[in-house]
Amino acid sequence: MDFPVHASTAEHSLQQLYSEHHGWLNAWLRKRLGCAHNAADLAQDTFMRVLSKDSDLPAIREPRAYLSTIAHSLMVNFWRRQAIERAYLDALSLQPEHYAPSPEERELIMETLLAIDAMLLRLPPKVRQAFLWSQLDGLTYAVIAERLLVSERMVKKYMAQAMLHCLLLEQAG
Amino acid sequence: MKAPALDYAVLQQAADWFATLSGGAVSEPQRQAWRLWLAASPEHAAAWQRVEAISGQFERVPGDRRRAAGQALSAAGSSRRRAIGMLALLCGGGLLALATARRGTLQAWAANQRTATGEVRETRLADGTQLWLNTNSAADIDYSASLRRVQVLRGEVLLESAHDTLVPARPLVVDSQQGRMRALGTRFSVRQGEGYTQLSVFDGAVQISPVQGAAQQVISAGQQVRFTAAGIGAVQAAEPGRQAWSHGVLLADNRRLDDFIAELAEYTPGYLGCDPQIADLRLVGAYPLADREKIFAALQSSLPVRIRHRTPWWTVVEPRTDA
Repeated sequence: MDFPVHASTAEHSLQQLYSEHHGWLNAWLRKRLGCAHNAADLAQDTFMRVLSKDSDLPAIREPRAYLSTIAHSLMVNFWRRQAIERAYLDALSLQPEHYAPSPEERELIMETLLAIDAMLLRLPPKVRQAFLWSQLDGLTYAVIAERLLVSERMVKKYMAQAMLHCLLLEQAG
Repeated sequence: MKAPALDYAVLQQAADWFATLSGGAVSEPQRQAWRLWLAASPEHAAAWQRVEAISGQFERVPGDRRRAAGQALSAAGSSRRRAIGMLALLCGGGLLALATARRGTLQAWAANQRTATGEVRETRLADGTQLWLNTNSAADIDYSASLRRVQVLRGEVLLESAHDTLVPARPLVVDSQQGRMRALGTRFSVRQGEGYTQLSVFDGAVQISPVQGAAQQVISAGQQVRFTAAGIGAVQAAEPGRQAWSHGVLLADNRRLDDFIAELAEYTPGYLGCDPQIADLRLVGAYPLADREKIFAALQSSLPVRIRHRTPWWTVVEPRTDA
């Protein structure tokens, strides 16, 4: 592995963090995920994340709280990814001209879908739905309005709201 | 921040143009007006580029996969809400409960709403009215047969009212310690201060009736006002950036650093202060409320300041003394 400038100290602290808490974190994740294999993967990812954060490891006062916070966000992402992937494959299998996507294609699309999903995460359900129908399904405002039981003017408002939300998020970095 | 920050107003215009042009039936005068807007300033062009980058994300899904992708995202949206809700129960609350609470969950009528420091919560009320609770806020929702009533107990709420589901429509009112505000089809925020109420109206209009005194006043879109139990202050222009928190964003438009830090402190557990020596530095940008470290990093890279964590609960923004 490549380490930044203070390789020896960073490596040392990480090793210490790892040896003292890896077992505990693994058990913590296993309890929540109910799967030893995924738990081991996510525990590994958690430590990788700690490393890439380049934080001041010796200064962490509550290492387990710190690790579980990171592990928790990875776990939420993991569930999100699973939910989207399952829904995507289900939707594909329902299409008449169904053919199975190649692993690469699947990976690429999943990446895009996750990015879109994260972007729209905090929008109200109707706004999110209107935006998805317009942008992915190419539905007209009239059709969306009918499906959502709102006026076309409201759909247009939803679209502006969704885009403004994305713009603000992007600006916030 | 990386790219130059654009004005809220410009982003809003860009989003509105996007909504106009995505509708399908675009008239030639509309297109002409859009071109004029686009050419009017480099900021407009920059904002439009960002709009295109965002909608360009959808182009990355191949045409024959779009339908499935759309269905997957719609389905995942609702199933995730359920999954995360269940997880929260299993883990006994904590962080996960916070994650669910932030989502627009359908709340029961007569619910008691509360947020912790740093939390912003969105709730959809039974009639479709959207309610956002700012950090460290509390409100009672009380819907009866004749009245839709929101009582602000602490902090700030933002409302976007919906048409009532009942006929005849019941009035929608917000009560603070100082008086009653009646929504006239609208988007507005109410902040409960110490001994006063601040009302900002972004859309529609709101009628104020202070607790004492018969004087009523209608405040319209774009206006903001403070009132006490006894009377209503001078009407000022509402700051559109005041509602950015409902998007999880803190906006600064040439804002004083101490002012900005004071607002950020409302979202921060523990103490967050600003050294008076740097209080009048100015800053611009949109900052993600959920990621305080990112805000600190941005401050340190754009201003001559350093962030000092004396303890995990005590943070001070100080002048940077470059040796």
